[in-house]
Amino acid sequence: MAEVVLSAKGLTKTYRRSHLGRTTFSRGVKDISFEVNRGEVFGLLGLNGSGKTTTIKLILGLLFPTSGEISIYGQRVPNREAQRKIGYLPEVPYFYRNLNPTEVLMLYGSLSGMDSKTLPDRVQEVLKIVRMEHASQKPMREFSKGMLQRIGLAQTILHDPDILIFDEPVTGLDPLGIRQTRQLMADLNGQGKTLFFSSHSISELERLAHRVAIIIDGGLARVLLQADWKGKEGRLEELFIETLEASGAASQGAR
Amino acid sequence: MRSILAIARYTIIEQIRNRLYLIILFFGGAVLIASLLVGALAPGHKVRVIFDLGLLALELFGLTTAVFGAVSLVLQEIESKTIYLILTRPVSRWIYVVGRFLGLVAAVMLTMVAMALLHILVMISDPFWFKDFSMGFSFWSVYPALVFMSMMKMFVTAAIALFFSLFATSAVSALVFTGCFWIAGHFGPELSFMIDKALNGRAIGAVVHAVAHILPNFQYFNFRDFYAIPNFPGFEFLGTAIIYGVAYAGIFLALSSLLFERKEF
Repeated sequence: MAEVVLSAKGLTKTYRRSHLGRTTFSRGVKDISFEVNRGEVFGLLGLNGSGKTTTIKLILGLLFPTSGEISIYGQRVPNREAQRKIGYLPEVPYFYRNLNPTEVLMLYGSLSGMDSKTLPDRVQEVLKIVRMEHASQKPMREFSKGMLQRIGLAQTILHDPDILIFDEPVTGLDPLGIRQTRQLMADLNGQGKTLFFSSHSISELERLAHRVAIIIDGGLARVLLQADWKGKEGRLEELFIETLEASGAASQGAR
Repeated sequence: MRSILAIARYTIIEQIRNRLYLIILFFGGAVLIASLLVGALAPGHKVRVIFDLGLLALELFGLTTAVFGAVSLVLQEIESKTIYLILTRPVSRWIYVVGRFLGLVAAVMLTMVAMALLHILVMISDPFWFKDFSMGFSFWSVYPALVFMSMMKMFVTAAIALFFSLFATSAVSALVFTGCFWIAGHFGPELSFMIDKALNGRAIGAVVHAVAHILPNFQYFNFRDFYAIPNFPGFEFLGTAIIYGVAYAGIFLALSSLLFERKEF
């Protein structure tokens, strides 16, 4: 039986906002439950604002659940030990504009508790992996979006985490950047890493994911297995649209 | 400890390379040099005027570095989401707060030390500079104490600026709140006097007094009021100032850490 490395049980997040004495509540996610196994590529698919990023933020401890819980290797988050096993790439990674990639990676490596003796070599190694060694001393204010994304990938894998969480990893990248990111994700999975990523790009999920969870209006509508779409061109898209229509969200998304 | 030092170290590097910081430093230097012109308007007391003006500039530019540093480092880091990549690491949030604070304070101290050195150079460029200080105190024992007291004031101000940068919704509100605290900190006794006069005997007076005590009291660091008088306060004044400054900044940092621990992003 596969080892569960990440699980969510009854995860609910309601945003509470107060302004001039008036309090309003809005839905983030509601009653989401799933389990991700070791070595699996688990995708989250949904429309904009469906709750994908909220789910990821809850896993990372950037948001706190209103109810329900998340566990990583059986440890309830937020938990420092659990965080050590996670690498995270945000949708648009922002870095310190006046620092260079070597300095930024040294900072993140130190914060991840990496050995200060081996850290400089590891920094150079990951810069080579993401093909950014030529710009290792350049201030990041001069970087293009694609270059920042590569440094984002470098910091994600720097401390050799077991679980990699990507939020829309290829959004805004040029075709070459998409190809390299996709290849890196496949390589990481080949090394036995668990990948959890959100996307509204169906083709990315189709190529990489073993399972895809469809999130609609903050709720987990359906979990699809690779066998449901593999070898059937356009099938994942059909299944997604079917699920949207069944929930009535397709018309909302079109508005 | 390693994480705190790493955050502090890169805070200093980032701050030193920040164009705004360099502009502040440049203007600070320019004001000190320009004080030579103002000093020329007071013949016989030229160096004394440069001395007083320089100390004022030192403090104001230290304040500017602390406030703009906190806003540009922390508030922008939250707004740009750069902070996500720090908070998703296995470090407690209070480590981030303390690391940022120490880095910010170090950058402010660096500004003030650089300005103090330039200030001394400007003063001793006058061949008879020491004549203005033949008033019963030694320049070399008083000047470091004056600069140190200004630094303690900035130590407290940096903790306040960091607090507002962590929780304010905009750079303007963080600047305004910190500025208000800084101004109010210089008028503690005057505020108490006015509260007594206006609300004497009323229950609300006690409440207003209690609220006024939340504000910093920079009188503890006002060595400038005493250094020229005979028997000026010595180590007990310095000791009280250090204890007050560390305690006040410590309370603000603890409060920042506590609230930051619950902050969602």
